Amino acid sequence: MRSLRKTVLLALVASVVLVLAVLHSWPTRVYSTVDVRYRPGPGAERLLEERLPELDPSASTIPYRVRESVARLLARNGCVCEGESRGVNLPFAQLLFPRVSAHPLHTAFQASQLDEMKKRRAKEYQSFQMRSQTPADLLIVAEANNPLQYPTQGVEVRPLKTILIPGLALKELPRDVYTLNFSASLGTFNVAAEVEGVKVRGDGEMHMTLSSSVLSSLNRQLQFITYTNTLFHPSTADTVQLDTEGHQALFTIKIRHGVTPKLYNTGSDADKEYNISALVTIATKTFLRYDKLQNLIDSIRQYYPTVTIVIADDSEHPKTVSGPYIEHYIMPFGKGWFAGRNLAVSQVTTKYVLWVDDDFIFSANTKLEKLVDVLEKTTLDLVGGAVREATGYTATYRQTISIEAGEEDGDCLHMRRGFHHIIQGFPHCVITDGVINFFLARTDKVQQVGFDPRLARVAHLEFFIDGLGSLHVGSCDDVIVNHATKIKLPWGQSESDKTYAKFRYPPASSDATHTKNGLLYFKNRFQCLTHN
Amino acid sequence: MRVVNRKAVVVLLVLLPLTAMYFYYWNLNSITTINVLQGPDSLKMILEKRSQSLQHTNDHIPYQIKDDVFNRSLALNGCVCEGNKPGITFPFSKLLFPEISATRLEAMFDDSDLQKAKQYRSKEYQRYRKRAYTAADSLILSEANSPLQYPTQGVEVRPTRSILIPGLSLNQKSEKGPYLVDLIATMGIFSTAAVVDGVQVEGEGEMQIHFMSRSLASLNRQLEFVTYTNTRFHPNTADVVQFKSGAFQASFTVKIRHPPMPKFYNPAPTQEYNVNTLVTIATKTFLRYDKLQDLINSIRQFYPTTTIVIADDTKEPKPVTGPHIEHYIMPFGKGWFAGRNLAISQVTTKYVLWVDDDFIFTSNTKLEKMVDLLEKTTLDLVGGAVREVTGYTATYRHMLSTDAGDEEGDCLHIRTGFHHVIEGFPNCVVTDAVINFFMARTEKIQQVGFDPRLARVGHLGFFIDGLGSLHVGSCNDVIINHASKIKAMLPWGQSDIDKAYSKFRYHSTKETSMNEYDLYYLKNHFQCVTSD
Repeated sequence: MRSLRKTVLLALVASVVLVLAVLHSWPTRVYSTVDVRYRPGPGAERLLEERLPELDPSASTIPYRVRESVARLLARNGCVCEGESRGVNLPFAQLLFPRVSAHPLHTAFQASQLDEMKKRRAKEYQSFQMRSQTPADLLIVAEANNPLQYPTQGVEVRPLKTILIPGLALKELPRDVYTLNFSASLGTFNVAAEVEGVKVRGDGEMHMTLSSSVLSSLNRQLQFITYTNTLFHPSTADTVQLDTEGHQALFTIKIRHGVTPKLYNTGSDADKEYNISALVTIATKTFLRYDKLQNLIDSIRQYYPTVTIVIADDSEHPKTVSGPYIEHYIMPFGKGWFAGRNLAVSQVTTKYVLWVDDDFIFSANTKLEKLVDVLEKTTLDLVGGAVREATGYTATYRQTISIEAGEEDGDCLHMRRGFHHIIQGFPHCVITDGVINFFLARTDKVQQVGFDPRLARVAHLEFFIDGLGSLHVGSCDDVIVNHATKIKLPWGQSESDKTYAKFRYPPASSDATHTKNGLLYFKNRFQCLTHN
Repeated sequence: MRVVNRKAVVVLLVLLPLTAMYFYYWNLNSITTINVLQGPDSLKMILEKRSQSLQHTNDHIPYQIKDDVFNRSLALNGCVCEGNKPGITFPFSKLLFPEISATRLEAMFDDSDLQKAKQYRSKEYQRYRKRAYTAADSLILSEANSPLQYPTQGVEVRPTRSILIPGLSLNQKSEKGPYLVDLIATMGIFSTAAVVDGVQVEGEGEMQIHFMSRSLASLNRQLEFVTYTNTRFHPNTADVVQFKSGAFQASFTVKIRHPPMPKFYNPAPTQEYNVNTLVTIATKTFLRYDKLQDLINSIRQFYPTTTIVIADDTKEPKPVTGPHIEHYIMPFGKGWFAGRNLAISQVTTKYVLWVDDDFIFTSNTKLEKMVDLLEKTTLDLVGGAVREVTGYTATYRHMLSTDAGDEEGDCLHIRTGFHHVIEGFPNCVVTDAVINFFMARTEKIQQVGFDPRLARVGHLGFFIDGLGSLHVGSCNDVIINHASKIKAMLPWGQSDIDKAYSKFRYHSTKETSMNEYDLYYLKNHFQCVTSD
């Protein structure tokens, strides 16, 4: 009996193990293979090119005269950077009559390296284009007198989900049988409801055909066509081809997740005044200048006693900076300017971040509430203020930035002083592209764009260049911060000021400038730049 | 002579400021005021009205619902989270038969806090929607049998620039002249780049332009030269152009945006293209310097010159030095995601590898395989596998999806598994979230970021923030070892440091930081979540 019980127990254990093994190895799902390698799309582009209906053939014989004043505005093939020729060199000439100067960017590299650099950049660019382009960016033209009605825009499905395709209809002259064909490449079609008198073939497949002898029944059926995405990509588009006798239509279905927002809890009532401490974090970067930093902190505390201050510090022998609502981050020695800025903004947990230099001083004119008000009431992402020097001169450093499409050498970058528009409701504020080093920004946007840590010493507009197209930038001249005086005589400099100047103001021919231009060339794919 | 010189100087001093003022005000003449206030958007209404009028002509035809298809596309009103009903609970039931659990996220709040949280979130969400909206996302239908030919997709202009509108044409079948055509825009103006005889043009340089001609062929020739110039600046938006002829009308969008800004990485000019110049290893540490040193030693065994970035929020930090090591000191207890965000903010290579500080590199940790996958595919991030001392190897693959909800928020669904196997890489799959051992494109991971509001517990939060922009892979043939937890789990086996670490790591204080579900609700606008 005892031996029998042991045998039964062993048998039971063995059975359980076997069952577990079988269950574990049982495939629970059938997976398909997907190709995400860098390859030309499945002929979508070629298909679209061939499908573009020709313009009115009878129009090709009509002559025309080009209007230079308008044609000049159109983008030509390639782009050029030309500066204005320098005239008489007068004092303050650049200030009174700003002239455009041009700089080719490939000169950042030695001649022996240039070929290798071009090759690498071209390869990176191709990869980038394949990652960022979708069929939703290709031109499609709606053919005139086409009996098909279909959506040309606004159709979207989440990955691997299903939607009803809106707005499909066929309006044709009477005939015995009406036939409609659907084709897709990243998903399948089906019908969500059935209508009598309509024949459906290929439901649940990438190609589906509907036919009926009654036009209105077919059109009723067309109100229930579903599209299901079957090949996964988090953000792409499918091109649907719709065919009937002699007529064809193409439209795009965007395949992407609903955009997940990044909201911040402001912790304040909408009707009351802004709670600056809950909304704003002040970020700064310091290197050696602890006396100036302390002056900044003291001036902030005079007006905003409980706002959090984040400090990024890459001094060689860092000193402790402490106090309530102060976060001090120690970096390796000399990591640099943009790395420090990127570190500081990476630690911000409030809705807005205010950037200041460590030698700024808050005053009664530094009303952060005004900047917050602009960002709360507009769609802007960033708003700059003004910096007042000891002389009384107040700068906003407004810049417009535009890019002209080039060819394989890269694009052309154009920077000009000025702004685009005045903001309605805020007469002291304008829309521009770049601002001075005193600005309030939405934290999630500034983190998204980032300050490239590869720029160690000389950099400012590079942040706005990286943000071009995603940052909506404003500038207000009625919020003013003071700048600790720079007018100092050599014998008036402290030891730390001298050391700072040595690191801060490298000669123009140094590596820092080459690095900056090299990044514009390689990273952003520019060939040259102009500015005034 | 001396008196004459003095007069000349005085005259010059008076004239220069006057000239400066003149130029300043002269530039003001061309400035327009723009409305970026968060008000109602009229573009949306134009498009919605138009779509509705085309969709009600077949209401009299009956139909029958197909439940199996209809239910899957029923995403019209709200969304639901339902878990499986708890069945029999026995050992390993979770492992053998994974069941879906559902969590309502608002249950995380006290009743008094909930109303406030709802208010704040709702207000933030409305503003976010207005910032993110463009007319290019709204539905537009192409009307059947319309004589108008026009582009339905792919028309793009850079802010404040001009383009030639492609594909415009009028193909009236019958009728005789005169032929009339109108174009109407809201964010730009029209003009003609060439002149065609016999065509009358009104409204050049305005938001509405009108063409008239007795010859259809001449009119169509003229339509080949219509330009659109954006005049209302926005870095990323879209205009709606209405195209009319008699009773016929069509709408299409012109995207107004800067093209996506590339951010390429160039390996150091004098070095070769290899793992050391392509990859930076990033980690976060807190108290566990012994484990960190083990990690560093194991990395150096295989990759002697790869840069290692360490974020450290230990109370009394110890120096971590050595070639190619960057050690960043944070304020005490800043936390998990803040440390991760700091570390990645300092990366200057093309790829960043994330590891925990208690991982150990082995000969199976072939970073080259991950680099190869990222170089050859459009993926942005690829996870590896983590092997425990028991031999169990985890990849932690998860699929994420969201259902569009209503004002309460969307529904988030988390499932174990993956979407597809990757062609050419049989050990790799496409999924949405992976384990804490992954390599990513630096530019993409910085763009998504690790929200510093998550201080202690968080992992999927990063992938949820990246949903729709991160294209994620996972390979099970790149394996890293995990330092044993078994020893640390036994009370007498723990070192003092392990005990102190556990105290901070597994501490649940609500006041110190937000937990992940709080962020889902407040930040990402979810109402509930299901997971298996």
